[in-house]
Parts: sequence; C-alpha cells; structure tokens
Amino acid sequence: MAASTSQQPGSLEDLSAAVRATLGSGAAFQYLNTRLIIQIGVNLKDISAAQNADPSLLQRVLDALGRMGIRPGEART
Amino acid sequence: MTRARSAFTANTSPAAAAQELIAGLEGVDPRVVVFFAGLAQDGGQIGAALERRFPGACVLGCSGNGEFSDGGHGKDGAAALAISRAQIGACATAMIADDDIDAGVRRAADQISARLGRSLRELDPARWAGVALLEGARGREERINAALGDVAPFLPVVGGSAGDNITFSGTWTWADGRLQRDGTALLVAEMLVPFQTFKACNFEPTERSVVVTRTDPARRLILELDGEPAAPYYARAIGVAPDQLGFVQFLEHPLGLMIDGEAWLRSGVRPEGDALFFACSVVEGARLNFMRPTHLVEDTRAKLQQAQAELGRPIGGALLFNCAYRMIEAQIKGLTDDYHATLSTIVHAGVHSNGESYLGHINQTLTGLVFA
Repeated sequence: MAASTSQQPGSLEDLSAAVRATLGSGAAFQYLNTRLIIQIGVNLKDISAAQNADPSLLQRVLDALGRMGIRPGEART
Repeated sequence: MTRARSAFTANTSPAAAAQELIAGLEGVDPRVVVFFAGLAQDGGQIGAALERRFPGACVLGCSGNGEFSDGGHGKDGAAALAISRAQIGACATAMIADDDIDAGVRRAADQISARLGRSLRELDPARWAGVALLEGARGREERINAALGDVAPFLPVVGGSAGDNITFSGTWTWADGRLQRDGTALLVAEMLVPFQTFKACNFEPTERSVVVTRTDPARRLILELDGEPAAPYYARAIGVAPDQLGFVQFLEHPLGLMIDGEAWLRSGVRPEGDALFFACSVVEGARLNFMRPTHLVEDTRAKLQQAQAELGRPIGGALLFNCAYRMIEAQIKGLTDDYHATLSTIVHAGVHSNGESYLGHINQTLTGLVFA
C-alpha cells in the first residue's frame, strides 16, 4: 500500500475529505458511507455542525474505518 | 447464451422436492445454485442432492416463510435458481456458524479469499457481488452485516434472513456442503454480466420526521423519540391511542432512514411498555421519516422496470428476498397472485424472509441480486 504519514483528521469534515481522497466518490465510497450511516448515524456527505464538533463521534468513525482496514489519507491498493 | 433457470415445487418430501428442483433446472450448466425451502424440509437432503447433480457449482440455500419462483409460489415446498457459467465466473461459499460473529465472519472471509485467490477487500464492486443468507431468528443480523462490512467494506452484499414461519424459533442454511442450524451462508461471485443489488419498498417519506433519542440496541428497542417515551409518541403521530398499537398499525407506518433519497425501512413489531420493539435496531441520533404506503404491486413493477433500464438489457435472472411483512400485506390486500405475477415477468427464485440485508439489516423490503 502506498502510504503517507497523514495526521489524524481533526473533525468529521476533515475525515470525509480524507476518505474521499483515498477512495474517490464512486461505488466504494457510497457503500462505505451507507454502512457508516446505518451503523453509526454519520453521513460523510452530510455532516451536521453538532456531529462535526463531537470528538467521540469522530473517534467512533475512525474506529469503524480501522476495523475495515481503511486509513484515510492513504492510497488504496 | 445459456440463461438462468428457476424451479419450484410444492412437494414437502425432501427427496421428491430435490428431484423436482433438479428436473426444473435441467438445461443449465450452473455456476451457482441457490435454493429456498420450507422450515420442515430436510435442507441437508436437498442441498446434497443439488451438489451431487451439479458438481462444481456453488450451492447454498436456506429455510423460509414461503418460497417462490416464476414457476409458482407457496409454503413448505422449495424453489431454486441456477445461474449459468456465462453469467457468473469465479465464486466461493462459506458457512458462518460461530457464536462469535466477528471471528466467524473473518474465518468465512479467509476461506473464500483463499478459494478465490484474492482478498475480499480488493474485489472490484463493479464486477463482484456478495449474497448472504443470514440466520434469521436470533436478532443478530445487524452484527453480521457490520462484520461483513469489516472484511469486505466495498463489496455490495445483498440477501435476507432465513425464515421459520415467522416463529423466530430457529432457521437453517446450507453452504459449503453442509447444513447449519442458525448459520449464515455466504456467497461471493464474479458477475460476468451487468448486475445490480436490488432494493424495493413500497413506502415514500412524509414531511414528518423524528429523531431517535434513546435506544436499547441489543434488544432492538426504541425508548424515546424526540425525547419522549416512544410508544405514546409514535401512537400520537399516526393518530391512534397507545393501546391501539398493533401489527396492522406497524405494517402501515414504518419509519424510514433516508439515504440519498432512498428509504431504509425500520418496522415496528409491538409496544413494550412505553418503548417500541422494532425488527431492527436503530442508532441513537438517527433522524427517521414517517412513511406512507404506495401500491405494493405497482411499486414492484416500476422498480423492476427501472432495474432493467439500468442494466441496459433484459433481466436474465434474479435472486429475491421478500420481507414477510410484504407477504402479509399482499395477503391482507388480496394482492398475492398479482404480486407474484409481476415478479414472474423475470426468471427468479426467492424466499419470504425474516428480514432483509443490503449493506445493513433492513425491514419491509424486497432485496435481491438482479442480473442480465
């Protein structure tokens, strides 16, 4: 995997941008985003201000992405 | 091109049912065979007979609340779909039988990956699809779907929960050459023809929405809606007294999680005190729309036409998972024959399921794998 040493995103909006940079906005992103909406209630395409300011929610999404083997900001093989 | 072929039998004897399915599927060189049968059928006998007749095919199946194909519909018999080698290339199955769901799904994914020679995480979602026949009686579909997402986050996985005549007493599935009580059968297949994971529900959102403010997800309970006790709030919203909440009200008034304009339905089952027991769990903070019904048959017809238009060629076959609520709605409204006649404009086999899956667990929906 082509890696970069990106910092952990500071908000859900930063995370969303990093995930899109990794996956693009095609089917892979859509499937992932649907899973996140169902499991956690976070829509990376429509983040509310309250969600964006919630560090625990950000960590939950990062944890979920980690379980899926997705490291935002890194290129996908 | 050799096309998919379906078979249906009302025979409740497993040996005879298997022979009738095999006779109905003759003429196809199948890469995948999926069967559905009544709970009391011996799924092991049917599965083994199909494996003997179609060596080299991936065979999987499950019990249901009724089974159907374009050749007929009923309960306690069996139905099957054979998908040809011109339609599916590589494929592999696995059985998830563990109480430890995460470990079981990881093992199944490793097994399938080894057979396919590639990681599920790397499969191109434009060419590969997953089909899951989930155990449908123990309320674990959310966790199974989440675990599948962990091992294959980009793979479109569609399916349904095995049925047990809506008793929630236990279901069976067949995959990888064995029958498993309360197991989940998983298929991963390379599609050689245009395909789509299909989802249809005959409800549309109303303007009214509600935020789920407190839940007990392990028990699929919604405790509060908009900060108020859920059952009286929901009853007031649909215009009935709390003590009038019953199956018919829940059938007519599901809640919908809207994603990109599409509804992912969450259906109530019964009140439990001031809480509501739903057929799937809902995360706290989710905004759900109250839904209103459209016509079951017309909506289904339109969604199939839309699927065909999106495929760009005639539908060659479909595996379908139809919620038992939809089966009951068709019965109540006298639409059963019309509904199956609409489905029967395409080659298909399906099951009336205890729940449906498409990237997550959903209710009151027709899901499926539709392909050219």
